[in-house]
Amino acid sequence: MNRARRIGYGCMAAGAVALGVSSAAAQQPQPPAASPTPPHASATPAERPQPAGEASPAPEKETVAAEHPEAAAVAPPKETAAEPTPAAAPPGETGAKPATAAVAATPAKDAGVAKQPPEKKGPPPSLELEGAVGPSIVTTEGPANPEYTRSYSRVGLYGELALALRSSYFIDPFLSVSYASLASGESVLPAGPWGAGGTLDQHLGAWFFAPGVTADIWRIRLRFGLGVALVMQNFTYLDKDNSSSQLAVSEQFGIGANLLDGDRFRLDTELRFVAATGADITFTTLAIVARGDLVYFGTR
Amino acid sequence: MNFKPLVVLCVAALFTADCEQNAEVSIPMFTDGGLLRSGKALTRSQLMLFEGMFEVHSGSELLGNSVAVRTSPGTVSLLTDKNAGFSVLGAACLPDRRVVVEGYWQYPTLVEAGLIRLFVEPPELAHSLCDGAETRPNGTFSLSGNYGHDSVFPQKPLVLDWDRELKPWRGRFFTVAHHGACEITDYCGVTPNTIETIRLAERVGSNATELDVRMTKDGIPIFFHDPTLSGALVHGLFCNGAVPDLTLAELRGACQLTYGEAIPTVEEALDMMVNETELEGTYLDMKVADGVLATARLASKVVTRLKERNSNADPSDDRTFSPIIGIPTQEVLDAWHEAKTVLKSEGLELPPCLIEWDSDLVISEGCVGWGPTWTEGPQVDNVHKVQDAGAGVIYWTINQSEFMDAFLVQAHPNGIITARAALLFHHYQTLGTVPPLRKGQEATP
Repeated sequence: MNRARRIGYGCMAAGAVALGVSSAAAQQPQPPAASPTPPHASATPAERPQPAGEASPAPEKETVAAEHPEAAAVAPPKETAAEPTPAAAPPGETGAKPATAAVAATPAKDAGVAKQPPEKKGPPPSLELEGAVGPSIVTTEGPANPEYTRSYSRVGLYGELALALRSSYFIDPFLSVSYASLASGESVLPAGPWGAGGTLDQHLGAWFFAPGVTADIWRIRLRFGLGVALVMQNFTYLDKDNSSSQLAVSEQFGIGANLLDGDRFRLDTELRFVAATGADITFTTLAIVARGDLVYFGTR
Repeated sequence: MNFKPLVVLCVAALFTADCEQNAEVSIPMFTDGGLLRSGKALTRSQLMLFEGMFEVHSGSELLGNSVAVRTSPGTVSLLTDKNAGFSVLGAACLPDRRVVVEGYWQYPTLVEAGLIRLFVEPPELAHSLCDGAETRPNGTFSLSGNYGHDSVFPQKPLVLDWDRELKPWRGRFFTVAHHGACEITDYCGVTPNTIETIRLAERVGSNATELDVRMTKDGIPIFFHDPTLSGALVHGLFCNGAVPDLTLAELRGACQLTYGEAIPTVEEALDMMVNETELEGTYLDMKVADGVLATARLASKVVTRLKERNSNADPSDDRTFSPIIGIPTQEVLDAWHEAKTVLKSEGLELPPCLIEWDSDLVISEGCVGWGPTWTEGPQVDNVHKVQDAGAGVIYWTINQSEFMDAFLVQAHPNGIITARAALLFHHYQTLGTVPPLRKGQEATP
């Protein structure tokens, strides 16, 4: 897989989004006809640079593209500009015959392009299935009433399933569902306004539903998700089971390393921080993440 | 341009953003325990002699130009309109026959607090108090000493000179503590809806409380504001879920409130208010209709016990306290109708009620009060209608001084719910009008 290409396209995409340009426009190298300010046009000092996509004040370049589309598409922009030098065009005729000059210059440049080795093509976008599993540790506070607490554990298990769109850019969106069995404990309550005393068994778990994005930078994988958490609290007291749940906003941030990068399968390890804001639960998990391509959108 | 670092930074900033308030709250104390430790505490009757309006001769940068002094068991409170500040002080006669009044001051909305140490002037008055006097001779009366910041020994001058008596307020005007002494965003060191905040509420100027009633799964009324256990109010690894899904054992076993308190039951809090304070009432704001009957039973017990206590031969234990069922919605009103039927069938006393939205309903339902929201304006005509019918009017919830002034001056209400008790008490004393007596009420001396 060509990671450098993914990164390069990603930068273009981010820039395109920031500038309000469609990603489709940013994805492809711009044909010369769309070049915003050809050298001869920008030679007029009072003229403002024009944003991408606006009509170019260079009808002669459009003529070139229309008459020789194969040349316009292959030649790099600075070469297709092919402005006649003062020596080649007498003063006053600078704008009169550049099209002829451009057409004349094209074959020589085409020959140069043809000598370069063919560019390696990255894989097409794909739908990726992801599974993660790992131990978790709750990093927020312990039980509220130490005087009642006999024992507790804040180490649990975290598992996740996710679908991701592995795009041509460096940012990939995903949708994940995960469950964490977070903590368990045992407290002994005295008799009180609640009635007789006894042992209170407690278990804390949570479901997380989170859309988000991952970013691959070389072999580092960053992850951010923002969604909802369904916090599940279970109790057993005097042999009676009881449970309650509450919704909270959840955030997750991960940083991982790619261990294996196969043709259709990838394996990462990832340190992930997950928070259920509102329920005041934060935990960290060190997960093994397995990813495989399900469907490709395009030919490989 | 490479936007990757920007994107990553934004994501990291979002993830690490924390909106919760984590300020440390510390109530200052004298490092050596203070002079109160070596003195003999003044009696309740002697503390009453301190009540009045005082001019601030020195120290106006702390307390403003005037201060209202009121007392509760064991406490002398200085109540100001400067930053809604209050002082919670104790008073004792020292071995050298000086009378010291010392404790801490605080601006509840700011992280500012400090120590105060004052002495009763002139010395003759202090001597008479040490000799057990329970009357104050006419003449000058000052509290003179120092204040400081944090736990630093007080060194800045503070002198308060007696100005005048307080306007009648006991039994007449209710400074109702909103969930207790302070809001959750304040720096008082107590969580709303707790025994601890009720105790502090009286010391910072309230003579009644407004508390939020919810029900546990096992049918026990408790004080808690939110329907779920949010990190803003409680903490604990296993303290999660919805209040009505959990039993009292689970709530008390797994949760602590913000400052380490336990979630109180209504019964515990009512007992505490009746037996350990001089609060004159509580407004039990029914957050859920299914809690009305159980709460009304508890309130009924209190009413019955107080009737017995006040009808015995010993007038010294007489106590006035009204546990009022607050009715904010039609659903709760329907539950109140059912509860009244049950209580009557069980031969129990009906506790008083208060309706929040419709002044006409207050009269037709025979409730003792109307609790309109301040956002509807003073509604002066409706206030007069309710007061003419012998009931009272208590607005909720006003914390800003300009609105307090407008409502006090225009409508002459019987009380206001506020989280700024010191401010309201001070403004009532300076601008307010004593409201008319309610039905069956006698003027308190």
